[in-house]
Amino acid sequence: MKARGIDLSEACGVDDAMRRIAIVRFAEVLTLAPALRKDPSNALHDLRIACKRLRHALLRFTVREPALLEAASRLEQLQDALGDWHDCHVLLETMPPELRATRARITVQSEDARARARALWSDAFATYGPFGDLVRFTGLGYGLGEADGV
Amino acid sequence: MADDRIREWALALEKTELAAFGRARRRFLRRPSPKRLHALRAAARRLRSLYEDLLDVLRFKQRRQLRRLIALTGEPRDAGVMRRLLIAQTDVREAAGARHVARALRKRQRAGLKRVYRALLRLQVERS
Repeated sequence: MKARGIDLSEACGVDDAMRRIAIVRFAEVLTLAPALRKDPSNALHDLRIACKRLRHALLRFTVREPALLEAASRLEQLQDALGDWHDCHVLLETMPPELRATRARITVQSEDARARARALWSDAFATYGPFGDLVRFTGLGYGLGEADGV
Repeated sequence: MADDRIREWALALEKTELAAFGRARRRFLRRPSPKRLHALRAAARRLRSLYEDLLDVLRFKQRRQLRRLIALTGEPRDAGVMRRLLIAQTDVREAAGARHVARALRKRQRAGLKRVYRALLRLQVERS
């Protein structure tokens, strides 16, 4: 998935530039988050990439905005879970079909990883959850609680 | 055109990320290994995401080469991870068949490491 371009020509200072970048990258993640609930594997892969981009951006900002570190850590956990899912998915595609029992075990692991990602995402928006400061910083994601997380 | 404070901030970030990439590159070229490949890949991706975020401010001439390098690092990384996963999850009754797949993945990983090494020798990353 190609990263969306960010217009910084109107940005007033570094804090404003940081906010503009975080808004665009968080919006990308929010747009792709429904993939955690549905099945399209491409969208889930794109979500993983979007999480990575947002995390990289937030880590750069933590020098000036240390409160964003918690969101970056949660994104890392989320990215790890989605990475585990992706590895299982790719391995299943390359494995010969006759290794049935092994395939079944990897499928279970893949579903576990996906469930873990879903739980991490839903919990991130809980009151005092790790995305609290990110939501305040960007103004995006208000009202996304556990019920409608995914 | 972004203001000077933003440009100054962006250049400082670029300096940090380029230094990290340079260190990872040197370490990998000294002795290529899966662990060093991981560090190289992470540094290259952080650098790429910096240029994506600050496209308005930083001009990066070797964008295509960096993108190609990241794609190249993906193959040995994937092969290594899949091999470990396969070994951990293999059902004992299918051990012989799985060993065959694991061997092919190992081969892919080694060939991939060599390709990354060659590409890194050609790549010279400079500041914008």
